[in-house]
Amino acid sequence: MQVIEVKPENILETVNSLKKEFDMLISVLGTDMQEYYEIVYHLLSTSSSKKLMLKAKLNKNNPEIDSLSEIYSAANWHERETYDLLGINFKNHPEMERILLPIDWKGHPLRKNYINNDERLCWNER
Amino acid sequence: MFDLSFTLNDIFAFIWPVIPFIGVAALLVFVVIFLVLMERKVLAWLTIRKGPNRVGPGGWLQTFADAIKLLFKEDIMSSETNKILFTLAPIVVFAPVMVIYGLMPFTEHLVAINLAVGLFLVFALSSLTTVGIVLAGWSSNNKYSLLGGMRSAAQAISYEIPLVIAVLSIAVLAGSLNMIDIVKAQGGGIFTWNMWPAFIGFIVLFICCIAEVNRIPFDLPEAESELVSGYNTEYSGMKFALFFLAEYAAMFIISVLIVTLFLGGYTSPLGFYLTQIPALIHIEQAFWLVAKVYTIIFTIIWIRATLPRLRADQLMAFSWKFLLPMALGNLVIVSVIKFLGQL
Amino acid sequence: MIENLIKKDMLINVGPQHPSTHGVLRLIMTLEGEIIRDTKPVIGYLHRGKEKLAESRSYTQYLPMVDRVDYLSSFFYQAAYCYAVEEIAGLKVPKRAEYIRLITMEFNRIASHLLWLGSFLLDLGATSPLFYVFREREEIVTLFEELTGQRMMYNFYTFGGVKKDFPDGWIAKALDLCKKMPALFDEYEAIITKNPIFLERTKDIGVMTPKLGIDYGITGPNIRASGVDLDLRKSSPYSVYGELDVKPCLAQSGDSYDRYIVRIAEMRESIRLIEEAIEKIPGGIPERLRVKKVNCGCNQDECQHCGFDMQLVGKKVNPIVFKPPVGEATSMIESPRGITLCYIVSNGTNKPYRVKWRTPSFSSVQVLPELVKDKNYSDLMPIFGSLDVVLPEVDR
Repeated sequence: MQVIEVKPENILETVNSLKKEFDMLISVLGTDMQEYYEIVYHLLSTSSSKKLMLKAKLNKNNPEIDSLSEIYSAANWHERETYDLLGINFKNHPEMERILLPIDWKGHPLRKNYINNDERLCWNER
Repeated sequence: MFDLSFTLNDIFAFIWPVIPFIGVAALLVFVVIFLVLMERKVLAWLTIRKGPNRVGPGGWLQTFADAIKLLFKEDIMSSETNKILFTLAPIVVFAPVMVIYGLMPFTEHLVAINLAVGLFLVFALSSLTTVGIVLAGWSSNNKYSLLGGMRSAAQAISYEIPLVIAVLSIAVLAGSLNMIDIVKAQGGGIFTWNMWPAFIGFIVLFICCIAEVNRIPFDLPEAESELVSGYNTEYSGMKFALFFLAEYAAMFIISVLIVTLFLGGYTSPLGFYLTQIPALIHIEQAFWLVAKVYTIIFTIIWIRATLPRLRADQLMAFSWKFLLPMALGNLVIVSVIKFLGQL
Repeated sequence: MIENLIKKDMLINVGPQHPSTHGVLRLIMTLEGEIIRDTKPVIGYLHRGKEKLAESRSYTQYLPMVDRVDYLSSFFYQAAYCYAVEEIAGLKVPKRAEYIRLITMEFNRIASHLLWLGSFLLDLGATSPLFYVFREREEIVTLFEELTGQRMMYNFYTFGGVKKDFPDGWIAKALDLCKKMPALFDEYEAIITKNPIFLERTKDIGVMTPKLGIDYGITGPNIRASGVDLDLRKSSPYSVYGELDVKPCLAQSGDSYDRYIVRIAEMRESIRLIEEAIEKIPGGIPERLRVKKVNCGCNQDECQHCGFDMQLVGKKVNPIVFKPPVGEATSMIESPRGITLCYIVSNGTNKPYRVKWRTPSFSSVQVLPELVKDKNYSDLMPIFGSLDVVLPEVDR
């Protein structure tokens, strides 16, 4: 699989130029890499089944990247999920709110420094 | 001073009208209990299952167990319901069905209320049931129930019309609205049945009757995959049991109606009775009626096992665009046949 | 809310407990009469934190949990996870193991589609097909039980192969079933495909244009019903699909009816694939393999009966000290519902650093508002049912 590293600022341009060939967004995911957050886009070409991986490194203090929901509608929910579980902000996203976890959940579980102190989950430690 | 015979007559005159209703109520409960079991057994057979087989020999007491469970269940009423209408609705649904039982000729003499306009009254009463369903839907204060109630009203209105027009052809053929007269007119065996001259009417009536009792493919008011359970979503315990009872009782009585109007009612399809003793003829008449009715009911259950459900607007379109013209055409054909017969 | 009241619209809450949401999906719908004006799906009621759970378990410990992502197509999720781990660890999988994987996966595809068929027709109000499909599914599940010891959560694949060979007589039973199945599919088609009410309910309902489907990342039979030939089994073969002749099952209009047609065709295609795979499986039926192995004992790689390709597990991994090297891997496979993606990052310890699941049902739920907009409320069921959504898979 081909991997392209992009700068977070250039993500919109890059994807726009790739859109013609890679017309399907398969997934958006983020990883907490200790020093930075890595965000990975999996793209697929429906005509040739070519796969492409886009990677961007985000600043740990202020993880922000442009939302792709304008280009691919599929990005909407995948980005919401990434925000929900990893706390990455997607700029210009139509509804940036939690999707899998309850709306009043605190913290983002997939961050490596996440400590689960929600009282709803501590029933077995009491 | 006292005339003993007068007193006895008086008491008898007082009690006599009550007896048929007790008989009807007993018949109704018995019929429903058997019908529910039959439906479950037949459905199980059609869908390669065993069906109820734990309570009693071969599961024959299953429905009694269900009925007892329903009687003892807590009667839950949510705080936002309209209490009066909520309680009234099952009664409004159930009562007309019970009265129709009294109007049906089960044998030549076993008809509780023999009216000159029996047929008219049957259809007047059967449309009352819809009022109860709308009441139930509205008073539950539940959106699914409301949708179910509304659908039921729309469905009843659009199916009542082809139904009544199909029945009109019978009135034309028999020249009477009395149920006994209608049956007697087709007493000469299978070829004198109204089904043959009014065959289209028979089909239309059959379809409309399935819609009237809200069975698949016309069970939109209680479409479980869309409206959870439709108008009876909020009901439990005895109130739910009343709806349940009314539904199956209506299914039985509507089959009796089809048989009475089109399939010769209680008369023998052979044209003569196998037995000659008057008392046995009664039993034979009841036998023929029950045999015909359960054939119809089996067909209805069979249809339920085969077909998916229609959509609300398709249901309306089917009624107005297909059944109504068919029913009118049938009326014309029957009138022409009757006219030619009189020449 | 106030705006809704003014417009006399009705806000209706479908689910989380509702007979036809296939689990616990919640749809907040605005109805005008019975016309759906707006839909907002709310998911997450079945979120079990599968991705977080992976962080605290070793690779092998996580393997049984993968089954539970989608309980109807367990083999596919195991396969996706195994392929990803094998790619990081550089494990080579013997050919016989790959064929066993392929045969079980295709059987699982049929079982999954069968259950979909039953629940889809149940949504439309026809009760019988549900019981008929369970008759056939039961036979497939019995085969799986004989092979893996489980009826639902199989936990059968391992890194570098599968856990054991087919038991004696399994292949004969599988072939028998393959012979029997097409006649049974004819039975369904007789009761469903030309049923006028079924046609009325599903034709031209929930039309998904190829553009819409691609935009929303819809994959699997749902997009193939719209005429997009996207099948990873054919276009980028992952297991030994490359050695088999996978034919595309396509339809053109993308309505609910076409999604049904495509799935029925796919079941027939799967049966053909199984038959072809059983013919081509290296070593043949297990009894013969065992006899030949006893006689052979040459331990050469090229030998027809005891070489690497005949084995089941390429390189047995120790569950405790199995530590793939630092790296990342993505595996994409074609599950019954679409493309399943498993992305694993390894940091050299015996626990995966990050596991990501991309599930096809997630996208199918996302596209639902577009499909049901301005449709009758009764159309929700044929549309939602035909998308074949499994809720545990959406929420993970």
